[in-house]
Amino acid sequence: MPDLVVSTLAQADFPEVMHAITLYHYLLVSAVMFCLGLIGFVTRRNLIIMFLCTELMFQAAGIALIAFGRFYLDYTGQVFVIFVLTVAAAEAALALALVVLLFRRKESLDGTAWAVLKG
Amino acid sequence: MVPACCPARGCVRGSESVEGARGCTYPDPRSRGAGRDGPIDLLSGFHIGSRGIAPWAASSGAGLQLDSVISPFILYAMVALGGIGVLLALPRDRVSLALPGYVLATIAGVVVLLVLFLTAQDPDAGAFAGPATAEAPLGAAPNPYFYAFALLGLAAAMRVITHPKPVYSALYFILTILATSGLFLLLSAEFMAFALIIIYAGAILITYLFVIMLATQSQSEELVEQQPEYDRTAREPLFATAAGFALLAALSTMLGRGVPVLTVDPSAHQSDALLAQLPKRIENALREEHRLDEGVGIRPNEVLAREITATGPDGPFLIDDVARTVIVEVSTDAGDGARRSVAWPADLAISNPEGVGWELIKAHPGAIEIAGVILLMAMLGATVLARKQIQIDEDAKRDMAMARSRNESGTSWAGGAEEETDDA
Amino acid sequence: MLTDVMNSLPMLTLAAADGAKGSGPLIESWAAAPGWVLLIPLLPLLAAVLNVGCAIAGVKTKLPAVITIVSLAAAFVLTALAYLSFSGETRIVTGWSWFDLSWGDGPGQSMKADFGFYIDNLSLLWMLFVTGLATLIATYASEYMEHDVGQGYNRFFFAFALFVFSMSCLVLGDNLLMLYLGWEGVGLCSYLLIGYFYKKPEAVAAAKKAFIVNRIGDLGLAIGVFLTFVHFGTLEYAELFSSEQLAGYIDAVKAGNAGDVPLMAQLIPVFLMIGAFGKSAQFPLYVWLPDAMEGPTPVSALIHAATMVTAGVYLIARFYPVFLVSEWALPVVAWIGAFTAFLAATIGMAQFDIKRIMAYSTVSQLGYMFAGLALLSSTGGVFHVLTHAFFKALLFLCCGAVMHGFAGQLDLRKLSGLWSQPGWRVVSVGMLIGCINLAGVPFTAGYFSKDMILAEAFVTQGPGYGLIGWLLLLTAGMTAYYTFRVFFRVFVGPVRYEPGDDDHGSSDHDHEHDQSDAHGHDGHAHTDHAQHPFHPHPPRLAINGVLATLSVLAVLAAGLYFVTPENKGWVGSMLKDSTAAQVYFDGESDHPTRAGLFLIDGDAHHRDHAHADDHADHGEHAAHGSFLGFDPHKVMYYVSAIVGAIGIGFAAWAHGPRGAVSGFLGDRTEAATSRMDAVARSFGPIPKWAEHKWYVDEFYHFLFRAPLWVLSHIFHAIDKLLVDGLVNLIGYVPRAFGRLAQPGQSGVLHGYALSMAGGVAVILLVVMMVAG
Repeated sequence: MPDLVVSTLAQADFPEVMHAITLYHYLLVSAVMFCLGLIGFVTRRNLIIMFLCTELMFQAAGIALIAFGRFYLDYTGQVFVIFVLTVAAAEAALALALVVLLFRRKESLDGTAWAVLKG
Repeated sequence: MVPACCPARGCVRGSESVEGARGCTYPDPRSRGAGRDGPIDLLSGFHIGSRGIAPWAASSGAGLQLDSVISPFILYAMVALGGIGVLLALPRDRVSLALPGYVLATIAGVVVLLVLFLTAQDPDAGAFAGPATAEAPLGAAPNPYFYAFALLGLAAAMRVITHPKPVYSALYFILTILATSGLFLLLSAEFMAFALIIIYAGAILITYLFVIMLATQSQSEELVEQQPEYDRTAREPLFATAAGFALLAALSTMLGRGVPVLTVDPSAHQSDALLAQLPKRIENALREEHRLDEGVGIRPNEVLAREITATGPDGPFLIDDVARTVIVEVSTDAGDGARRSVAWPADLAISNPEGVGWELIKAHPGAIEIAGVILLMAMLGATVLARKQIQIDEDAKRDMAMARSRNESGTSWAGGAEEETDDA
Repeated sequence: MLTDVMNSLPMLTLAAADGAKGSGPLIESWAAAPGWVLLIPLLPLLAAVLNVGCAIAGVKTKLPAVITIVSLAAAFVLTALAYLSFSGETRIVTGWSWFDLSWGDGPGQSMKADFGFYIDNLSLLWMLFVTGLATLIATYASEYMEHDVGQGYNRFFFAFALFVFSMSCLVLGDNLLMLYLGWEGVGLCSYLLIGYFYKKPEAVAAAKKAFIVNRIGDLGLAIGVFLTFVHFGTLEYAELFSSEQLAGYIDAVKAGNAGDVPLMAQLIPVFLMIGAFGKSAQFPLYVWLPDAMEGPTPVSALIHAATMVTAGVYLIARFYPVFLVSEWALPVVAWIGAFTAFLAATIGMAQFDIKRIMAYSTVSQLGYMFAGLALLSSTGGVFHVLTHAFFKALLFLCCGAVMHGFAGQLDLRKLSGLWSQPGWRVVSVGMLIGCINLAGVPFTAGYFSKDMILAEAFVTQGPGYGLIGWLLLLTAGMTAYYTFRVFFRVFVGPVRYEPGDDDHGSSDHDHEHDQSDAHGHDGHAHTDHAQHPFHPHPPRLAINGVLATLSVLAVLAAGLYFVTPENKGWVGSMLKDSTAAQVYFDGESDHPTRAGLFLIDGDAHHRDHAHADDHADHGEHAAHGSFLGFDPHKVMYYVSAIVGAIGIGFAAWAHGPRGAVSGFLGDRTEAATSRMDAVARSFGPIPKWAEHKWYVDEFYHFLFRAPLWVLSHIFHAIDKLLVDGLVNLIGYVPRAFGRLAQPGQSGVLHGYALSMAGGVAVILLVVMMVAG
């Protein structure tokens, strides 16, 4: 039906080519990526990779946020991703500084080596 | 072929659903355009503004809703398969089973996406599938970009978590980011797509790479290829994978149930309504249009007219975002020039950065400030953390220098004592 | 003038202006009112405060004794002055307002209790011997307690002075609240002084026992006070005794309509009686008094023989009108008194500890007093209180001197011949005087006072009163026996003694340290008997002086009987205007029955109580109360003398020196044995039972303490298992969870992330299940 004009966020071209893609597709991708990040965080012992996995989870969250924003036709999801990005950057700066400190202390990046911190 | 109207989900197709939507609290979208059946959002396949859908929690047929998306059997089987794949692909000390793991995981991902693709193409799938349109009739070629980006991103993510070498993990993570940016583009989030690449791939990941280089043990020449033990082995891969994929199964099930009953309020955000708040943007577009075509747009001697109030023409601009028109007048000092209505350019729409920026400034000004403070604090924190270490290093360096000077001075005890006195 | 000085004290106000009451014995003017009588209790209080100061300052001299003696002597002088200036009319001296509450205008809707004194002959009589004896005994104690100088000395005299203050409040108070204050105060001081040697477990146990048994009686008194206020709407004596309500009840009883008196009014004397029984050690609450002998002997003499234990007698004497409203209150008192007298005498006969014998004797004589009061011979009862106070204090102080000198030896089987020992003559004579008083040897004070009670027991008609008379007569004989048993055993016979195991000359002393210094008064230390042979140290000036004074007083007390013989002696003249007065006033019937009673309160219009005065002239009712057909009042003099003589003679035969010819100094083969042992054997196990106090303590233990012990252990078990168990369970459950989750607290980041992920998965699954 040619008169089925869709209100989009901006691009008039995109909807036509993605009509068969639903919110579920994106959320599923997001969920898979999140769980991969989680598994990585839990299994890998290298502190740097653990933090990379947290970044992976941030990515997953970003995908979900933007997909929902697109679904609801507003920009809040994207704005949230900006903040997620901000926090991720701050976290990366601090966490990596800590990683460097820890590495200098023990000459190792093994996350399990710091179990003594449980007190 | 008209599917039976499912009471659980409500009627989402056909003119009767639009009739049924009358009286809802949201404005009927048809009031804007004449003779339309109502806009249908293609992402969800629902009529925009159709509120005749019960919340998912109260839905009696919730179990069916996952069926409408994907067969639970296939989903769970593929989740289990993917889990096994990830389990195999995780680094282990003696024998590497990474390759079969990748194969299994890829199979699982491809199967799931294939099923989703087929479901989306199936007119019997109900609301899940989008309506057939002239441009994209049922059974038309799928959008390849989504599937490509999704597979690429997930495969790269898997490599991130399974690769024993941190440098490679970081590089694969960049690939993930690129794929994610592609998905963002498909979601019409161009600003975020490029911001992601710039910030993540350009800044954060570079930091990671620096740290990886800083914090890698300096090994002997022969053992350069030898990874440390904590990189070579995964910790409790079975439990972790089981928990992770159990979570995934639960998440996907819930998403499958929840997504079909989500509803959209089209009036929550309208590109035109947003534009109405940006008169300069409209004026510029109209002037640009006039520059290209003399017959349309506003002429150079005209400006956007304001509403005349008791104190003169200083009211709001006369912009009608529903009819997409704007009142302009001939610019005079008295402000009483001749007025006329000008239609917006047909392709005038707000761009994504404009929308994001407008939303950011309008709705979240405080959060921006807080984000700035967080970044500042993170910068200070990182600096402080690093500085302490440097001090220790300097102490050590000084001690070493003193020891060295003592050795060089030989029997010159006076010099050493003097140095110590200075130190104190 | 002292009076003028006292009058100028601004704090003293008088209730004289309180004319609103209209009736009652109120004082008219300041000049007529000895306002300085307020100092009688306040001086001992001041002494107590000063003694506390001494204790804080750590005084190591006899200063506290001096303070106490001086203040008590001053109080005695003031009391004597008050007596001398007393016009015979009851007066009320109000110190200050203590309680003055009101919640309405109606009757019984206000409560007024001043710190004020009710001065009549009864209270003055009591205060005279209380302050007098307290002064003497404080003097005695100043020597007796000298081994404790600088240690417990301050504490002792603090409690001593506080006791006199409390006793003064009890006796002088013009309302029931003051009485209750004093009542509890003397109880507290009694507790403090019994437990003076708090390092001795027996003393602590005795103090606790005295306090707890007294609590039972005090509860009765408290309920009595409550009921009095609830029923009569006042706590003040003046208002209470002049109330028409009370007079109406008495009239009703007099008219034979005892049923008209409300039950609550009849219950008041019952509860007051319980209080009196507790404080005055009557059956069944007497068990604390013998144990109270664990305290220092001066305390036993003053508190547990002469003064505090007579508080119950005072209470009943003071509330005589209230006791008359119930038909059976006084008979109960009479029976309890007589039974207690008999029971305690039987126990006293079988004891070997001389202080304990005196304690049971006290219980027995208190029973006499109650019986006397209840048998409508309040004069006899109060006279006996007075005489008993002197001779029993004398006896106790003599026992204390023996105990002091013989290293705490109190067993009469291990002492003998004190009479012949140098330095013990005063003690022996004092003991003899006390014994003849107690035994009722003719023309002693005890003889006269006991006779009055015995005679009245046969005269007065009442439920079983004849039997009471015989019981009391038997008791008199037993009293004579056990009294002289002590005398013959301890003071007569060959000189032989065995020192007590108290290394200090007295079982009162319990000092683990500083022994050689603390008792330097006899020049040598008894720290080690093996090295130094024991020498008894006879009493010195203070003790001897007090004993002599008391002996003289005990002898002279007999003379009181001949003062104003128309009132049956000085005591009778004192009582006739007080609440305890009673007359046999009945025009139609001259039977001295309860229905024929008429009360005269202080200001009654029956001033012309000729019938009361000529009570001795009892020909008119001789036919109704008789003793074997004779007039009891006449014949009792001889009968009791004979009974007493029999008792003394039996004691002399059984315990005296072998052979009457050898006289007092004759030899006895062994101090530890006597003819009585053979006699006692013929009685089978009964003497053994008596020696064990008829197993009353064991019976109480079985009846009360054992069930309470079991109950408390059950509660303890419940508390331990159930309550504590629940609390512990509440604490244990989180701890168990913690233990369970403890392995998860590995400190490894991965573990936490894993459990978080698993937890989210579980929550999602649960939500899915619940939501269907």
